[in-house]
Amino acid sequence: MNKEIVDDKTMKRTLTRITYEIIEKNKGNQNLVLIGIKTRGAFLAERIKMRLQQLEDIDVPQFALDVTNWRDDQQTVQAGGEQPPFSADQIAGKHVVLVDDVLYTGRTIRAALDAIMSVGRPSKISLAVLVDRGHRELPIRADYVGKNIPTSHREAIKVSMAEIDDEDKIEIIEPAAE
Amino acid sequence: MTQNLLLMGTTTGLATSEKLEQEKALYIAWQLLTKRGYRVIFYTENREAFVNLRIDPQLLVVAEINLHNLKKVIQKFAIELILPTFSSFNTLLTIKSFMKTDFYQRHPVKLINLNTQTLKLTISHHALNTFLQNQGFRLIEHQLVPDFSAAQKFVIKQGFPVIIRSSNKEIKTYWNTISTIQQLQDFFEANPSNDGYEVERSINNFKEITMVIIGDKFANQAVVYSSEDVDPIGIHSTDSISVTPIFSISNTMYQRLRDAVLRLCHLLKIVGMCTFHLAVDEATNSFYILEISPLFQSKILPMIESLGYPLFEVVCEVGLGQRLQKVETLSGATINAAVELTPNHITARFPIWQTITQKDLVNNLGPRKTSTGAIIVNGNNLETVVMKGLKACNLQEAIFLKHLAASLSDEEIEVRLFTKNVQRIIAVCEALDRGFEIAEVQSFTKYNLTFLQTLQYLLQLSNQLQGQKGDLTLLIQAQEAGFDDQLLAQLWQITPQQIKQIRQQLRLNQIQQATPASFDIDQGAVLNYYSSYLQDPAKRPPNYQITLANEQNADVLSNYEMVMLTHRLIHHFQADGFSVAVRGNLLNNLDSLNQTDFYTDNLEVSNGLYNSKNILRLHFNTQEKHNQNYQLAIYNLWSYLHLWDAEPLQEVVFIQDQNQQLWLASPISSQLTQITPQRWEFVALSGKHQSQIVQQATAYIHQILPTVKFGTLFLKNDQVIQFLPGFTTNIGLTQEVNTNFINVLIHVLMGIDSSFANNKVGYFGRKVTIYRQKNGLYTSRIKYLTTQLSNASL
Amino acid sequence: MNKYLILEDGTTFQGDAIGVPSISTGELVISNNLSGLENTITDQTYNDQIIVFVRPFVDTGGMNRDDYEAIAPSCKGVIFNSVPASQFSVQDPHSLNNFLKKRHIPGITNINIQRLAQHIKTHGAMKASIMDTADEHARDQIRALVIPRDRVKTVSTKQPYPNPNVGFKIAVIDLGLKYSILRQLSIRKCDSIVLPYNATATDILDLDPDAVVFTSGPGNPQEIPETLKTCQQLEGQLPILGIGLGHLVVALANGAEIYHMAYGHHGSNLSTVEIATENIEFSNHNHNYAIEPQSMSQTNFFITHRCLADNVIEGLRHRSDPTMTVQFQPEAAPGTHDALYIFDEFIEMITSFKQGKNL
Repeated sequence: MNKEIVDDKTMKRTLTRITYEIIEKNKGNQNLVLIGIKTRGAFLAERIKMRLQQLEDIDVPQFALDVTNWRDDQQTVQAGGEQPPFSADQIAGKHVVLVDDVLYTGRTIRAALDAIMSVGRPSKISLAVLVDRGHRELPIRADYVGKNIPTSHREAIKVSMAEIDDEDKIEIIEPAAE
Repeated sequence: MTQNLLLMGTTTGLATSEKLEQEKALYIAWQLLTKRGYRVIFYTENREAFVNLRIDPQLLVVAEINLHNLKKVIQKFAIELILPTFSSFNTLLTIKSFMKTDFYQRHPVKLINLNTQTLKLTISHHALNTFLQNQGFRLIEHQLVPDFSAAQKFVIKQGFPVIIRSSNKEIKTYWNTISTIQQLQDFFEANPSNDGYEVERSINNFKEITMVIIGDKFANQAVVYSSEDVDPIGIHSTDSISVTPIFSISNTMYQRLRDAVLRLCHLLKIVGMCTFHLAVDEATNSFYILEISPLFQSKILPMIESLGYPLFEVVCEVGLGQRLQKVETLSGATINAAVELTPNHITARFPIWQTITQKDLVNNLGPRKTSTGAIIVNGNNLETVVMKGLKACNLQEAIFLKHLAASLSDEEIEVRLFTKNVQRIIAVCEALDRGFEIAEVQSFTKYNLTFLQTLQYLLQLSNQLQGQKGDLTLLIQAQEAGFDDQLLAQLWQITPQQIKQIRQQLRLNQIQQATPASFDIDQGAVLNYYSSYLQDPAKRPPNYQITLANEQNADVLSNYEMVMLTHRLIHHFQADGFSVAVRGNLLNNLDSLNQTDFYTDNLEVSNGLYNSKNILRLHFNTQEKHNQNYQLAIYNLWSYLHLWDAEPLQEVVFIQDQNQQLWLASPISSQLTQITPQRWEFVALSGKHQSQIVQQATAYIHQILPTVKFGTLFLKNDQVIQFLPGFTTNIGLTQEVNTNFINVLIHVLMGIDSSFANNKVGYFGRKVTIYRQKNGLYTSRIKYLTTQLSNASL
Repeated sequence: MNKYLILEDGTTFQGDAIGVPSISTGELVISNNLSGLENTITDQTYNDQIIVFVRPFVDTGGMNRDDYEAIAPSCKGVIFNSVPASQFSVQDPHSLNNFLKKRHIPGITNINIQRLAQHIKTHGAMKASIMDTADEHARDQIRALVIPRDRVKTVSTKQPYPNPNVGFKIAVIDLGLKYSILRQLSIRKCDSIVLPYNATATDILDLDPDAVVFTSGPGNPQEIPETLKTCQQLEGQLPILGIGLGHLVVALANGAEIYHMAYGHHGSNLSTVEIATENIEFSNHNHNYAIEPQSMSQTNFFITHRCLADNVIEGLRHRSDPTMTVQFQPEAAPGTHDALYIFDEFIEMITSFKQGKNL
């Protein structure tokens, strides 16, 4: 059963707040680079970029990262995985804000960190997520959290975004009763 | 590249004054879309449309609106976008079926301002209820019942009254109010249905609220309109007096309603306008959503125009993808259309019924719409608006002077208070006049309390005025409450001129004020003017070169023809650069271009609602014509009914200049047939000139009417049998077929030489089916006929 | 009885008396609110001002007890387009006329509001008198009027008082508080304590609150240097929310400049745009002053909201401190609920500030 827990308005507002916090914690905003984890994280990063543009009139570099090749749950490197779209120069000495939709075990983030570090050396990496659902398996923590949604392992969180899913919403999906 | 856009026009059928509003809206849409560079194809059933004023005939499709034709039009003109415009049930059904076709899959035409969900919810009451329930809204207790006994069970649970209608997915059915078991039984006998019946708790003590939201595709919304019905909720909203802005619910409740409708708009992804009808129950502090119309509801247009908001221009702009805060109006101004209007004045809509005399107005009101027109009045306070409304509905005399119900006993009055009919307001006034408690009158009638208080106050004033002739404090009080010079003169038995003199000494003046609110929209507002009596310095009006004045008539057809005729005249006058003013309650400004000044009331003239003809008073003060007055009359069918027997007549419109140069319109052959005691068919066909008729008419005019400038001749067997010093309701056909009619008419009236050539295009005909009820009310249905001479359109 | 409204420039309007039969003088403001008469009349931001209601008439329900924003309203007068007869009722204790009499507020009705509003729009806000006669005396009165410089002092609470609940502890600095601000904090379970406008930073920090709110109020923020100083000292130490006058106080304390607007914003018909998303929302505006846009570069704030009609700055956020402000009134009352989320953002700001501190 799907239960909508965040509607489009709240999601919009949450992203705005994350943007405000990014500005607050990065006095000057000069060195920012946004890296969104594909697919939904990339759209989120794009929306944060738009908001930063509106608010502070700055054009923050933004990239979409495919972490398939760095995942620890992939036995073999899949052919479809893409290489990071940025170069060492583009992130060296920068403050990278990594953006994803759901923070769960932390393994995706670790893969993303590996991918970034394999290219270059940012001065700082922080993490922005729309939903933190708990159950970490690695010592990873988000700096900017949209919503803390405590869940059980049995449940799943589904983030829909207008760019690919027609509408913005966050749902909890409970497995059908057995 | 130029995109081909299909603008869906109106369907023919029942003639109502809302049709006019639709045609006006279409004209605005057509102008705006054309201005934005679209190639606009106009597809309509109506041959007498506003758009015809200017559209290239190549882009005009006059054909029945159905799936077959729609596909043909889309193919022929390579349509990419469709603007459906109205919540017309047939059009929506056509579009719904269209979207199911393979054709639609192959030709992905984009719909503007409509999506599948809103379409579904508008068409089906059941779908709407399910949707609302899923969104957590409270619904009025309702049930789908198969038969009488199930309905009876529902009634036992909910109590009387209930409303019921047969359930039918394809045809619109009407609600009926049921208050007794007998009525319920009668209903089931009269309405057999295979699909069952919808029955619902009647909520006649609730307040009915209408709200209009405008939204863009970026999820921005604004509530641009809210109104309240004065009549109880069981009466169809179109048959009720409605008043904007909302005046009798608290800020807290209003904000709750606003939150709810905005949430719904958001869920439905409304782009364009959406109208919500809500019921508010103040006793339990709850509300219900009754209806959602994601398209344009024509009854609201004149009200919103009276608030100065360029509604239809905004609707088109957001439909084309503009942001609400950056909308370009027809006037060229870019405005912030995201405003929640705070008007300085009150606007009310008074329904009127199509009848020959007011005496016949004994029509029962209920959930089924019966009115065919409405009059819009504006004023700076509720008292004035009520007074203007009563005057426009020809009720002032009955209530304040003649006291029509005075001979009835208290018991008879009580009975009348319970009877929901058009004349009830007279009984209500009589009851208040006799000192019935307001609470009592309200419990009987369920009228809005504020409205009743206002009526009571006005009656008290009128009584005091009659008792205290010459009391100047009272005079100020009364005029500020909307008593005009004419009524005061009658109450004090002196002349209106005397009243005028007195009040001018008191510095009490008739002030003309513009309808847009002071702080809402600076440029790009739609301007209309209303008058009120205030102790404020009078402003001299500009000197207009041409003034047109007209009051609304109860006959829908003559109103329609009059508006079309007048707007053609205005259009010409504007094009020739004259300064033009228009007065009266029939005509109002359409768009933000504001080329002409419109004064919505004319306190000096008396009401012409039940006149046998609709008169346009023209006043010229130009170089050629100083202080010249003309009357252009359109005669109602009833006034020349006696001319017919079995034979058809030939109608010839003529125009004659001072040198007796004569212009003759193509003759219209018209035939009136009585089908049943209640039903008539009136067929008019335009045709070619016939030498016989031309000779007869010319001779007749030269001999008998040598100085008459215009008129209509009736001929039978090629002999003139009657002259009408004006036009018939067939004047629309004459205008459409004889393209230089208006041009010649204006030149003759203004005393300028003109070319008298007669250009004719596309002969066609019109059939009006008139159904006249025993109580004198009648409906007119229109159907256009093609003649052998007509151009084939598709 | 006839009454006259006489403007500073001599323009005169005639109408009929309502309320207490006295005369008075004050600054004229135009209220564009369609409903919520009670909220408007009792809003202390209108202290010493004469309120002009542009809407066609007042509700006939009488004054409603649920919508008071202060017990003792302190406006100088009310001007109406029209007032229905029922609101002149002597018997009905809640009639508008009785309410105005009890609160010692004079008023005029049946005024040509449209001419008045157009006049203010063209010539700017001005002082005016409510008079029994239209003579030279009235003009003298206006000339003699000194716009008071201690409005906040007049309307602010003299003693601290609590608005207890169980959540975050909020110090509410009362500059002319509307009860609805407390209502919104209560809804969010904030345990508020209301302090006078001249509470010092030490007073406030001694209470160890989770956050501070500077409320809306009347007049020019430059008239309350003590509040500006407090605000300066608190900046960065605690999450701060500034509303209305409070917004101007926070901005001034942080180096911005302000100006007096030609005729101010008063009403719920104005739309603001949230800069980040270009979302339009409607909220109740009530301010005569605004932030000078050029002075923004002297501060470390970014703009979060602007008014669509005239681009006036309507909301700010600090680039590094947990400080947010809005010029409009997010608590609505009267008016639309679109901006209630500002209070939620404030609560989120407090939460996130606390989390930051705990790390």
